[in-house]
Amino acid sequence: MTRARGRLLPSGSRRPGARVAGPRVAAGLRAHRLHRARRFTRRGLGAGKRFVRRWVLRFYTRWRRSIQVRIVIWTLLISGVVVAILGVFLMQQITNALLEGKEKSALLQLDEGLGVLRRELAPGRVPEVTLKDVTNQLKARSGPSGLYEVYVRDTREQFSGGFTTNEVRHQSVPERLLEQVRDDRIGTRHSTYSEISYVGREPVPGLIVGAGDGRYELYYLFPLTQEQHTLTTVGNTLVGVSAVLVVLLAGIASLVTRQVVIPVRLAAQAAERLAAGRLGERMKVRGEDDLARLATSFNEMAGNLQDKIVELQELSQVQRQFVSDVSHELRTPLTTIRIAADMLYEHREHFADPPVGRSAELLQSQLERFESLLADLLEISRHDAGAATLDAESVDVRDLVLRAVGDTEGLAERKGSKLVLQLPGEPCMAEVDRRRVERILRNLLVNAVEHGEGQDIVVSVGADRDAVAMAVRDHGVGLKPGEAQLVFDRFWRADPARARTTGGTGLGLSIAREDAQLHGGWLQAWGAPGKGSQFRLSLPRTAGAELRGSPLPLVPPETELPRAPFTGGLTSPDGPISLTVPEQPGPAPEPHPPLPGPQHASPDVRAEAGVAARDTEVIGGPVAGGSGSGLRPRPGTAGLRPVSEPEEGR
Amino acid sequence: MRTIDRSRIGVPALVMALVCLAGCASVPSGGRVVSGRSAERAEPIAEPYVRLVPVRPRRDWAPEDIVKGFLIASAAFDDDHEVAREYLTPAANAAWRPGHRPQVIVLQSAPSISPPPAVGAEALVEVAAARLGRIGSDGQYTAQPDTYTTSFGLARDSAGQWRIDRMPTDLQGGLLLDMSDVDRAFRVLNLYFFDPDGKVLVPNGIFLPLVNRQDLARQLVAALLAGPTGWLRPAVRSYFPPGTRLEGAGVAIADGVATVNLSAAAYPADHARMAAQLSWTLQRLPEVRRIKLQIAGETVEPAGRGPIQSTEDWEQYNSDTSRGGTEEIVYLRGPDGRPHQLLVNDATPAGTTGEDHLHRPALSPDQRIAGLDEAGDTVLSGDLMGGTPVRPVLETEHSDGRFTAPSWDPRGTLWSVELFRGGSTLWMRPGKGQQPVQVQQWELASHKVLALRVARDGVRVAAIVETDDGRQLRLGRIVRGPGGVVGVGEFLPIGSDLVDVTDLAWGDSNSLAVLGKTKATATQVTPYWVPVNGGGITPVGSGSLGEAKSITAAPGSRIVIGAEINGKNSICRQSDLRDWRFGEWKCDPLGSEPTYWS
Repeated sequence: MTRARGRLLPSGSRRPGARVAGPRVAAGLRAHRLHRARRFTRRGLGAGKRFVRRWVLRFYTRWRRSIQVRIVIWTLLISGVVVAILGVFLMQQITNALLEGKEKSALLQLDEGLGVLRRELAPGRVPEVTLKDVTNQLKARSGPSGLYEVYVRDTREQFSGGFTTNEVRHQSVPERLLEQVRDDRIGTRHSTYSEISYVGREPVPGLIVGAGDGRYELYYLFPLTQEQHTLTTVGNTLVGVSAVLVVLLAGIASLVTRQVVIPVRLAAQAAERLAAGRLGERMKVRGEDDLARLATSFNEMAGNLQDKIVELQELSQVQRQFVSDVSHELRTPLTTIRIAADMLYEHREHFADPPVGRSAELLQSQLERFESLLADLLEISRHDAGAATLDAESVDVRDLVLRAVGDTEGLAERKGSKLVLQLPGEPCMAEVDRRRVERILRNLLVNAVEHGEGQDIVVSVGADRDAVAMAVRDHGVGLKPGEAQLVFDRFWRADPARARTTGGTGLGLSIAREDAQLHGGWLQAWGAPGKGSQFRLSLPRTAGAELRGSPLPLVPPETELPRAPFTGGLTSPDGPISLTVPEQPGPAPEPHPPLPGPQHASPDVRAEAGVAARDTEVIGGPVAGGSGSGLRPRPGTAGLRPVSEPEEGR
Repeated sequence: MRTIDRSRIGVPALVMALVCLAGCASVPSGGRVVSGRSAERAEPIAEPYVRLVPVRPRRDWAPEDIVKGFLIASAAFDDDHEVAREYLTPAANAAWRPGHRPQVIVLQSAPSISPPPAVGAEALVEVAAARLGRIGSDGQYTAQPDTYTTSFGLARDSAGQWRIDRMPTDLQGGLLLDMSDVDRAFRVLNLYFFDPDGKVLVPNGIFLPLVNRQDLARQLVAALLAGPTGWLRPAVRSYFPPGTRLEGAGVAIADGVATVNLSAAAYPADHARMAAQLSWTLQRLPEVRRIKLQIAGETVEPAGRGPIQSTEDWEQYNSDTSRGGTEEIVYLRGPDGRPHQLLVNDATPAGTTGEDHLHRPALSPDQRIAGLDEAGDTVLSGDLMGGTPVRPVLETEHSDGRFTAPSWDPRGTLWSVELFRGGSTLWMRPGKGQQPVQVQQWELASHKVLALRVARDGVRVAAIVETDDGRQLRLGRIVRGPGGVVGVGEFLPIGSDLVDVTDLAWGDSNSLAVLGKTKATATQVTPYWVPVNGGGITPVGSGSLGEAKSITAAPGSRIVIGAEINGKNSICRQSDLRDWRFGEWKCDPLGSEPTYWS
């Protein structure tokens, strides 16, 4: 406010016209100033509020995160309360002790004064002593030292209300004390606390004692300024000492907590690093205390874990090697069998027994199937071994689509499906491995035709600046909720009861996904019961570039729910992850385990496993839902490599 | 190993700490002696005082009760006589203005109040009492012993109660109090003014009502600004310009420093002397140690003494300053009649000139000596240490004339009274080599003056006057008019307890050392310390003095008495100045008629 005014005044004085311009302008100016001032105030208030909120938030975060902060604050609070209670108790004790002593000495003083009064004013004394003289005697002991003041009066004297010493007013003696003294005249002494008022001075608290001696009443007024001063000093000292004590306690708590918290933090960091895959991580063991035992056990646990994981990795390696070897070994006999089968097949019409001919035909077809199965197995074991290489060249994706469609057209016709192409007018150039992409497309198309139920199959191609996408849409039975993640599993079938008469080997989609992954692209599936399914392949335009979004939607626009606008989020890398589940129509959307994304991981972990996590998650995005751990390393890097994800997911 | 070491040190350390703490927590029962200075001055103003609690008029009091109640209640000064005013009708209330410094008719004892002879719509109550004197509104007490009678007119107010309607005219601005009330409610305090030359401060004792002890500093400064009392007014000058007022609520006192804020009218005056007057006046209050003078809110630094001064800064104006800070030298008339200087146990001749056999010697500040011859009808004077020889300077005018002991004032004027049958004449010899003159305005011309001493301020004189009641002490003042006209007069009786005064000397600016008796029945003349402003007299010393003849005193020095013990002239002293009240007199037969420098 002051700042606003300070800024406004000079501007007003710099404009002499404002004063001459008349009241209206002046009023306007004033209103303007007021408005500005108000705005400044509001702004200032807003800034203040924001500041406070930020600090509160920061404090809350620290409070939640740090045991140390919590313990220190609790120590502060509890020790503050304890010290306050102690301080009040102490003050009360000191006050009582002080006042008790004062009261005792006051009553003794009163006794002495009464003695003087009795002695001097004894009836029949010669020469006669007046009350005035006695007061002069009594006053001698008060005086500038301010020990006490005296008020004495003769109850039989009607023209004088007695005498007081120095500036004290006789009204200082409260009515209740006067009444008490009047009621039981002789002997008893009374005391009370009241305020002593003076002529021309501030009143002070005081102790007033009084007694009657028949005709005379004597009151002593003890100002308690000294006591009050003492108490104030003691109180201030107590407050100071308490504050120091509380701060000291907090400091001690902070130090002690540090002793415990630092090893715990080290343990947490070690555990986090271990979780991030650095299995060699160990804690330092210092001393023999509980924390050392924690470190020792942690290290043992990490060692065991590492051993198990290495063992599992080796086992998995052996299995893969076995599959690869078996495939190779089967090839040679298969070639021989193939030659024999071909011969048999060529002469099938010459067999007398027609069933034998049928058998030859059957043998031939099953052999073909066996061969392709073997080829697929070899291919997938190449991927597993990391031996698959990308033979990238710049091609128009539309050509690849057309070729794949051409290859599948026959099959589609047989199934009664029509292949509908939605291709963009301009070329969609991308650096891809022609063979692998064609294989993916073929797989997808065959898959679509097989599950297409004779309906139309829509193949669309999309492209943007960074990526190209191909989507294959069928209108068959579709996928049940959750199956979109399973379709890429090896040997997974939509209907286990279904005979393995149709289609490929059950490895097609797995290989397709591996291929997409090799490109740095995504292969994703969407499906809804009765609405068919859609598979989308998104690839970066340049080989090895990071894929940030797909030009085509995963969920076909016509099936989208009213919340469709959110599908726009699909262009973001996290889009598919967050949207596949809510977009899935169906009676009971599968409860999706929360995807461990970067937003859930601690910053340290994210820094280390960020790239790998995003790759695997995005590529296998819908698939990854089955996995419990989001911290899978990139294929090929050292570390965990799931062998049978689907099983784990189930 | 380390932990064991630590615990070995730790246990004794803990025990030590506990012992220390236990020691701190209790009241000490031993230790060294701690010394502190006692309060420097035991001023009467520092003593506690007693205030009367007035009573409001009760229902159906008779007229004489109302007057009695009023007279008693008027002794209570609280809140501008708030309670006493309830005894008055509104008209009388408006007319009655005692104010902060009321005129007071001082009575010997409580007056006798006679009931009204006839009670009608009005009642007239007669009051009669023995009057001692009066205190003027300037605070000056004047003795006026006689019988005082006056009457109060009373009327009934609307409630049918008697109230004082008509006050005696001489009580319109004042009070009627008896002696004990004055003692209780008034204090004598000194205001300080300068002598006409502006060289020495002269105290002026006034009666101030102790309305409120806290407000006393303001009252004192206000009284100082109002100027000296009528008695001293022509003889001194105040350096506060006329019209100077005290600004603000009063005199603020903090940490012993009294801040006096004067109005701008004080600016063109002599700041140093104003500050000196203020310092010395306020120094009587025990709570004031130093003062700070402000004019129109601005602190002045008079004579380069800094913003805060104490009386020590103005020691040059103090007539009580002892020379050299030690006790002064006592001179006396030796056994051979020549001036001697008193040593510790001995006396050696002081003068060297021939004709110096002097009676009643007196010494001036400029080392001149004066005295009388054997017959007492010639005053001789000369330099003590060579120079002008001692020779006659003044001879009696009357054939039966005798001079009193000569007295010097600080200007070097020699004063002596010629005493003859039927009266006295005051002579003064203004300076070295000048002819003595007779003081024309001499109030005591018709009285027998036995001794006259000029104070060290040169303004006040103390005299012993023989009256019908015996030999009395009187205090007068010297007025130096234009054209060198000198008047000595306005003698006030002081020390009325003393009846037979034989000799006197100025002890300091406020007190006289006097040889006298308190009761006519007493057989021996003894020394007394008599405050000139009306305080009580104090006997000095103890033990026998034989027949004390002469006395001398000086500020910061012991009182010395010349006495005749068993027919031998002796000089009597006390062994210690500090014990002057009770110290025993020790007399040595060394000479007679001791004197200090005057």
